[in-house]
Amino acid sequence: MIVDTNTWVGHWPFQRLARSTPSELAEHLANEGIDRAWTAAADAILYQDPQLGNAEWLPKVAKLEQLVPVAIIDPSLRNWRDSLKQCVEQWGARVVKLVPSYHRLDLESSAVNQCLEEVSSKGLAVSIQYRMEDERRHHLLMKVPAPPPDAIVALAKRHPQTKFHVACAYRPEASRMLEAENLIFEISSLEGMDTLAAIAERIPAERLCFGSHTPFYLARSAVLKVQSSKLPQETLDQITADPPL
Amino acid sequence: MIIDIHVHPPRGDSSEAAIDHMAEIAARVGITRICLQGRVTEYGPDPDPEGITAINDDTMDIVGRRPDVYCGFCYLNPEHDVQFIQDELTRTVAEGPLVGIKLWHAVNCRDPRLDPMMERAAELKVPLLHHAWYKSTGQNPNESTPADIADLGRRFPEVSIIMAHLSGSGCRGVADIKPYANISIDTCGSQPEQGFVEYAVEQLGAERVVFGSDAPGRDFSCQLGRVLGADITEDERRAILTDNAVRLLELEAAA
Repeated sequence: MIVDTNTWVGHWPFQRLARSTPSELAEHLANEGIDRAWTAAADAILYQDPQLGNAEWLPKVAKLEQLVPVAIIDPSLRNWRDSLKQCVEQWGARVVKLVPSYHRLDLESSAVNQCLEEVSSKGLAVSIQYRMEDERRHHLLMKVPAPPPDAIVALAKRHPQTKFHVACAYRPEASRMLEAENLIFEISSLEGMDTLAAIAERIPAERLCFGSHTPFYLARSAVLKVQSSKLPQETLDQITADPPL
Repeated sequence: MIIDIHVHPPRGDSSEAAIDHMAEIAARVGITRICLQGRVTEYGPDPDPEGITAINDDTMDIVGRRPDVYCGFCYLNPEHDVQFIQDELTRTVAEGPLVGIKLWHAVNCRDPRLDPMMERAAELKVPLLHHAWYKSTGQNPNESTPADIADLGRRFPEVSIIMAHLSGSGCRGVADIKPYANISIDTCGSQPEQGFVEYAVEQLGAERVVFGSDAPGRDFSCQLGRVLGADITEDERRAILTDNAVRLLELEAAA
């Protein structure tokens, strides 16, 4: 059983995404041996109101048993409560993704903290999208630095009862964030020779989960990280299972 | 046989156990030949002659111990005295086991100080693997872009040049080198972004795309996934993973 905690549908202006409709994504992931996937709408990140992207894609995502709808929520918009309610009640979102970099979130703001309290009260998982692309090849007119690891650590410590999923952090960043014990990390952007063995030296398996960042990245790359690993099968099963959120 | 043309030795450790371990990890995903580009980062971007010698000694030592798996390139710094560079090429390539030249970013590749080593590469009939990247965050001092590599390829059409880092070069970089048939591109650079292998194959032809992982900073398996997961034909995949490197490195096809 592989649960992919970081996949996308829709469009992104800086990369032509292949197989990015919900049905295409679901078929592709199944072909790669991925059983279930958390799926968000890439368009939602850059629309003025992310709900326009959620509304375009989440109803279609929700129709596919293999895909788990993920709501992109920008707490700095005054309508975030209505958006969250609609994503959960109409489209079955079970994960809320915050994108601090692209939404320029002040993670100490009351809006962010109120949003997290409400998300937690609904029993939803929280994902922090740490980056979307390698900053070195961002468009020259749109450079979006990743948030400082310390800011994510501080956020997690302000919400000790909430478990946060962190997507697309690099190894040094994940290592820096380890001190907040309620953060778990998906593996799509964690890399080094024999990735899982290398990161397992620093990050306990119970704080790792599978993620591919498909279709920005190739699903095959994340799958091969697992298939080529010599870690004990029970450890690999733990990493590829539903994350403990 | 899958050949990885862009690998660096295990960090800080050239022990038998370390090089065997690296070979074992590569073999898990079918990579059975590894082309070492030297321990370049451990001596900084502008190594002195002693550093160059140490890096090349290390590469030759590994190749000598496991010639069934490893081959390697001679790392050079074009800032150095021409005679030192020529002597190093004689020692490591003409009379030694190394099969190519590696350059990083001590000197931008438009610099005429590259000319003597490029002329020698042509004479020795060995390829050059050259770092390249387009960084919107800003280039390192003297760091070559794909446009710079294109200029080098234009100046030395008789030398086979492998431009490193498809993902770092991007579509612009592929377009830069397209007119120069003597320039290939390796598939590594950053995360396994979807679409670049297909783009390079479409624009350059599969015969100009060659698999490289940039391990151990990167993972053999993850980087191989770029090629195994790409929407290309099996013939194109075989060219990228095997045939092109066999041709560039003059390996035995069945080795």
